[in-house]
Parts: sequence; C-alpha cells; structure tokens
Amino acid sequence: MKSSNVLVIGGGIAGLTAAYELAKLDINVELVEKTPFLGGHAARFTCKATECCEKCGACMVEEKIQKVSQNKNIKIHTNATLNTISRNDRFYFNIHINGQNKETDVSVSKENDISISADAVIMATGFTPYYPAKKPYGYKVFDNVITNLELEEMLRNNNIAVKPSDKQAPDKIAFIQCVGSRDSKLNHLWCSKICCASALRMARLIKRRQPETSITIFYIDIQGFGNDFENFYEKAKKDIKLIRAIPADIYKVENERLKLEYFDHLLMQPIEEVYDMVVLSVAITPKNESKELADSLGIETYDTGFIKSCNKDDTATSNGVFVAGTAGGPLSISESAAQGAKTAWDVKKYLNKNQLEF
Amino acid sequence: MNFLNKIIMIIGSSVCALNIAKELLSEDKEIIIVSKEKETSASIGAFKALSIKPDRILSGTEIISCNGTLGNFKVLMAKNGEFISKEVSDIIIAEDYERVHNYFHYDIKASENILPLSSLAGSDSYIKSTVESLPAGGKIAFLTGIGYESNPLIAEEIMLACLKLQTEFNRQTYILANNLKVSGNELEKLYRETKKSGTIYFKFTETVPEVKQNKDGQITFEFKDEITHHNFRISPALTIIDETISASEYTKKLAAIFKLHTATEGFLQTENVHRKVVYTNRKGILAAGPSRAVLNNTEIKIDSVNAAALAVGAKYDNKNDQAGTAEINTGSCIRCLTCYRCCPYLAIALETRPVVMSDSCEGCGICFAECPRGAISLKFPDNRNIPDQIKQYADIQYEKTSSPLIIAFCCSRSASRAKELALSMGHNLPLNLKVVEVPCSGIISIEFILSAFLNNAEGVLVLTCHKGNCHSEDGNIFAANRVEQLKEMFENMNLKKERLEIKTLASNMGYEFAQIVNNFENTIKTLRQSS
Repeated sequence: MKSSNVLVIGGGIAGLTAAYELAKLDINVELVEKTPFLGGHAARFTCKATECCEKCGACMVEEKIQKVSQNKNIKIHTNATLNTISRNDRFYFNIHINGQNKETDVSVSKENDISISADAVIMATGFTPYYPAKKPYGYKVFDNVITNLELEEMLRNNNIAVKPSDKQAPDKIAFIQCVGSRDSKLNHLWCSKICCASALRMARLIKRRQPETSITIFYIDIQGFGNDFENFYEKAKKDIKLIRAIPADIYKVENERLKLEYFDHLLMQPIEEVYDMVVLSVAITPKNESKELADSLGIETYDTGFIKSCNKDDTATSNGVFVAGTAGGPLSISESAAQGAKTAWDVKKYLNKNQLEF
Repeated sequence: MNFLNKIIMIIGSSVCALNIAKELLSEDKEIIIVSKEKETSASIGAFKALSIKPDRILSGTEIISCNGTLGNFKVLMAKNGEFISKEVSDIIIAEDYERVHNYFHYDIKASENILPLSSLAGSDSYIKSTVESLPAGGKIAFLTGIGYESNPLIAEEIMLACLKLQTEFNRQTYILANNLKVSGNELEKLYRETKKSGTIYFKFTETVPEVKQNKDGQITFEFKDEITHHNFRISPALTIIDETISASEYTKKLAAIFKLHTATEGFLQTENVHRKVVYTNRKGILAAGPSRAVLNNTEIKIDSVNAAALAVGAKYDNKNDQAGTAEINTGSCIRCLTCYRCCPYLAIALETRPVVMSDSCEGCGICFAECPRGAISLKFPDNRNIPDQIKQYADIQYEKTSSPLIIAFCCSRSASRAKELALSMGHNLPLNLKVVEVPCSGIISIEFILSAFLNNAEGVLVLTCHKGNCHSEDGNIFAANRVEQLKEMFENMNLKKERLEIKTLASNMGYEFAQIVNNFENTIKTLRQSS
C-alpha cells in the first residue's frame, strides 16, 4: 500500500488535532502554518482557572503543539504561505517560506519554495477577529480600549489586567459583548458563541487576582449553557455587574479614562459611567483568504462567509477537500479539537476508499 | 488483548447510537445494540433496518453489571427477567437525554391549554389538530429560561415552532424569555426570521411575569415590559412550557455500574480538558452524544464518528508517552485493596489478589504512592526511576552562598510545560531549581518528598494541575493531601513547614510558574538567613 500524504492548512487547534490524529493512523501530514508559531489564536489565551479549572481548554494547546512537533509523520512548515494549489488526480501545491525559520526542529524545512503533492486537503484556516475600528468605541484611538483577545494575551503574559496607557491596574473595567456579532448592519447574523463564557471567566479571574476591581459586562443575551454553567453563572453574578444594554458611544475623559453612554431601561434614561478600561468582545468572522481558497478548491461557503464543512455521511462524494475548525463557523477550543479528530477519520475513510479504486 | 473476538457494544438507541452503528458497520465491525426501548419502538426499528443480525439487537434490555477491561469486557444484562451475558471488546454509551418540563418553575398546573415543548416536536398532523382546536385568533405563548438557564437546542425548537405557527397557521406567537440562547447552528438568523414573521419577544432580566391560572387552567400573564415600560396582559389560548434537558436516570445508573466520573448534572464525563471528548475515565468505555452533554445534531454527528473511530482503530493514546505501568509485588501485597479504591481508571481487578490490568493503567502512580505496604512499582518505558533522579541532585556541590537547591516535582501535563513556556518567554528561573517531571502529581509520594529533603534540597515544590484539571481526576488532590499531612508533621517537629509548598498551574502559565519558583526561592533564602 502506498503511503498517503495529507495537506493540513492551518496550525491552530483544529489543524493540530487533525494532523496528530492522521499521523497516529500512519498517514503522512504536511502542516502549513502562515505565522511563525503553531497553536493559532488559542495559543495566546490565558488559563482561566479560579478556585478550580473552568474547562476553557486553553491549556490543551501546549500539549498539542508538543505532540505534533515530536511526531515523525508530521512535517511542519511554519512561516509558510500557500502560493499555488492545483488538482490533477492528486493535489499539487507550492509553498513559500518567509524569512529565516527560527524553529530548530529538524522537521522544519529550510528551503524557500517547496512543491509537494497530497491525496487530500484539510482546510483548518481559522477565523479573523472582527476589527472594531468602525465601531464608536475608540478602538486604536483611546489607549485603554482593547479587545477580548488582547486581554487574553495580557492575562497570559502578566497575570493581571493593566491599563495600556500607564501599565497601572484599572479600578473599573467594562466588557462590551457582541462587538461585530449578532449585527444586522454588518450583515453578521451569527453569535460568536465563545465570548460570553470567555468574558465571564476572565472577569472572575481578574476579580480573584485583583479583588478591588469593579467589573461590568454589557450584553444582549448571556449564551453559556450546559455542564455546570448555572452554578458558574450564579457565582459570576455575585462578583460582576451585568447590564443588559449595548453602549452607544465611548468618550475619552481626563486621565485616559473612558466615559460610556448607554440607555438604562429600568430608569428609562441614558446613563453615563466612567471606566478605566474597556474590553470589546469582538466577533469571530470568516477569513477572506479562506473564501478564496475554498473557491479554488471547489468548496462552498455559507452566506455568512464561513465555509461549509464536509459533514456528509458518505465520504465517497467528497472531492478530497475537508474543513475543520472555525473556518466553518464559531467554535470553542474543545469543539475545534473534536472536529479536527473527526475530520482526520473522514480523511482516512476517503483515502481507503480511493486506494481501493486504484 | 483478544482482537479475534472484537465485538463492540453500543448502549442506547438514540440518533447518536444509530450513527455509531452505521459508522461501525461501514468498517465491517461486529456490533451489538443494547437498549431499554421496546422491541416495537421506532428507535429499535431504525436499527432493524440496518444489516445487523436480529440476535445482536437486544431491546428491552438493561445493563446489570460489567467486569473486565479494554478488549475483554464481560457485561451482564437482564431482559424479561432473564440474564444475558456478553463478551465485548469496547463499549460505547449513547443513551438519549431525559426531558422534564418546567411547569414548576412558573407554578403552573397541567391543563388542556398547556403543553410541554416536546409535544410540538411530534407529527405535523398533531400540530395541525392542536392548533385548529384553538379558538379563532387564539394566541400562543412560549415560556423559556426565566429563573433558570436554557440552551440553544430548546431555543431552536421554540423558534422553529413559532415560525411555523406564524407562517403556516397564521397564529400570533409570543416568546417570554430571559437569555435567548442563539449560539451556533445559524440560530441568530432564525431569531431574525421569527421576528420578521411576527413573533413578539419579551425579555425578563430584572423582573418576572406574574402568572395567573384560573380554575379551568386558563393562564394569564401580567407584566410591565422592561423596555417599553408598558403594562401587558396576555391570555394565550395555548401556552408552551420549555423543558430541561438532562442525563436520563438510566444514564446515571450506567455511570454507577461502569464507575464513570460524571458532571454535576449526571452526564458521563467531567469535561476533562485533557481527554478527547468521547473518552471516559475508563479505557475502552466511551460516552458519546446525549449521554455526555447537551449537543446539537452536528455535534452529535462529530461524537458518533469520534467514538466509532476510537473503537475501530484510532489508537487510545491518552496515556502520557513517558508514563509507566503499575505492577503489584505479590510478596508484599496484603490485599488491603487501597489500590483498587483509589485507581481512577478502574485498572485494578480483584482476582484472588489485586492485579493491574496493564491495558487500562495510565501510569498516574496514585496507587504506587497510596499503597501502605510499598507493594506497587511503576515500570517506565525509558527505565527511568524517580528516586535516582532525586538523588542525582544531591551529588552536586551547592555553594552555601549561591542559590539554594530547590527540587520541584512537576506534573508533565501542566507544570513541566509551564516551565518550558517560562523559559521561552524569557523569564529567569532560580539557578538551582531542579525539576523532577512526573506523569501525574498523584505519584508524588510522601517518601519522594522526604527523599528530596534528605538529598540536600532546601526547599521542595509540588506543582500540580488545577482542581478539576487533573487527567487522573484527583491525582492533584491526593498530592495536596500528602503535602498537607507533611506540613503538619513538620510543624509538630519544629521544622520549617515553609520549606514545602504546593501550587496549582496550567501548561500555559509561564508567567505564574516563574513567579511561584522565584518567590519560593526568596522564601528559602530568608529562612536561611534567619536560621
């Protein structure tokens, strides 16, 4: 039996899981990652454990990266962009390695342009965080307005939340949910799924490490559910102020502080409140490059721009291109991993079927 | 392992169980279905339509007990008062949910014009006759998630029903809710469609609607809308109450029979982040779909494939690569059964004496550290042994003036990875910090800690996963109890208990790792000066 080669595009949690599961089935994998690092967005997330593990899954990434890096069946190409991809019975693709590769791992290729062929392709290209500059929240204008992803990274690297303006701990933090999600003006008719639980967890983490901080979350509907969410939510409500309203504007006031304006439905009047730092929970949005890639590989996309995943029962109808992870829509870390594993098995079935036909 | 006789048992007849069966059959695997459902039920009928031998579909059958290990489970069942025994290689539990209506949340009593949500999921003709029996122009209200949290499955059912009632039956619908769960499955779009079709939403954040029910069971809602501040009174011709989806009583029973860890709601698994989603604490026993969590159809499909893949041949790789396997020295064992009681993986079988079933052993070392007779050893694949590793540091001559020798026992899944991350982040670590990497903190015995001190360590750190994050579920708790015990002993003996510390970490906490070890070094340095 000839050994199969599978191209995995994207080294985030879905791509890493798919690559690792394929490798375990003795299938060779070419893992192509655009950035210099594996792990994707989740590799920059913080552990959100307070009195106990909150099951966010962010710690899984380190383990996954280690397993993938050590596996001989996986060839990792970081800093790599896909130049061309074509199909003629098999898939032929050309990748360009940008700059000098810092990784010392022997499996990392050093050449600048590489041509490889594959029997199947997994698109695990991930998402683009919504860039909130068009929202009236002063992102990139006011120092102390950051995104939830930037807060994740801050907590991971420094343990505590600090204001970007002066590196001091903020007294009052506001989270604004659904920035770019559930937004008909942007035609973003989806909920990004992970931000409510993530904001609540980060808020509780900050409260634990910086108990003096007062935290408010502005929201539309709190989306968490399932295993023990109710208990968690009750605990969160005790520590955190939850306001069901989405602020209209943010203005800068003295000392780089931020004035939020929102409509209080109970009082039937607009309220102004000053915070030291504002965290925007930005949407998970489809990547533009993913759509182009999907088009060139003959894969359909939803109206939303996310890619239709191949969840068909019969893999024989598949054309050899598979989709995993947030390229297909918002998912949590463990959901991305589950989908990555499932996709690996779908690919294996597809390869078996194809080999029988040869 | 006996691969010749590989029959895979599926417990349950849910949609998920059916998907798994199809998946396994397409791989030419022999399967056996065990379900409590009646022979004549629709769900059993779906299995009959597949190419499964009739005697391999055990309907009306309940699991009684299970013995054995991966590759060789012996399952005892009961059908019509008779016992049946089967030998199978793997077991996949895919039991359906239980749905309980939430009448009590709203203090509503059952009556003609009140229905639980699942009754609308029935046939179209039932919905038609139900709606047509309502008085002309009669309105329909849905109550969901007020005073408790619902989920997207329920939200989807309600919104689909509203869309149908509005567009096909021209009925005015209301949804009275708190948090409307629209995460996933294009539910936001559906939400917009229902609004467009005329469904009116009332959201209750700070208030709750007053529910009045008269003698005939007729319900009236009275409330002041939180947004418009207008008073409303709605007397719907039909009120639909949502349901709570939870693990069935039988699933909970199965957890007890198979000794599986469960979440608070009784679902199999504890959402342990170190495990693949369908894994349980027992190798060879998988929990898929509705038996492990509230999942939508796509997620159930993913679970089906993942469970089938594991049972068919994707390797159970959960074991830490460098973890060992426990072995019981029969000469020293006094059959106290401590190992049997503390093994989270049920890898100890009770024969004439306790025996380790090596296929199920994950090498966490809890039994090794807990055995009062020291009768258990761990064989590591690389012949490594922890006592030697501790000793090797004693041979190095440490200048009294330089940094003190600190031995840190680090769990390979969390603290060891955090140490690497700390270094790659550019943090400075104490000069003489020596790490003893362990497969799970459950292995860190009192003897290991004392041995570290005996071998010249001035301070010992035990670095474990966070509570609820241990791959072995409570290896970290065992470690914490031992440290607690030692600290108490140190205090009684007038030794500085500050020389021993336990902290919890995750693999992505590089900063925290650096802080913990550097602070600890400072503590030890201070102790040195004061002594």
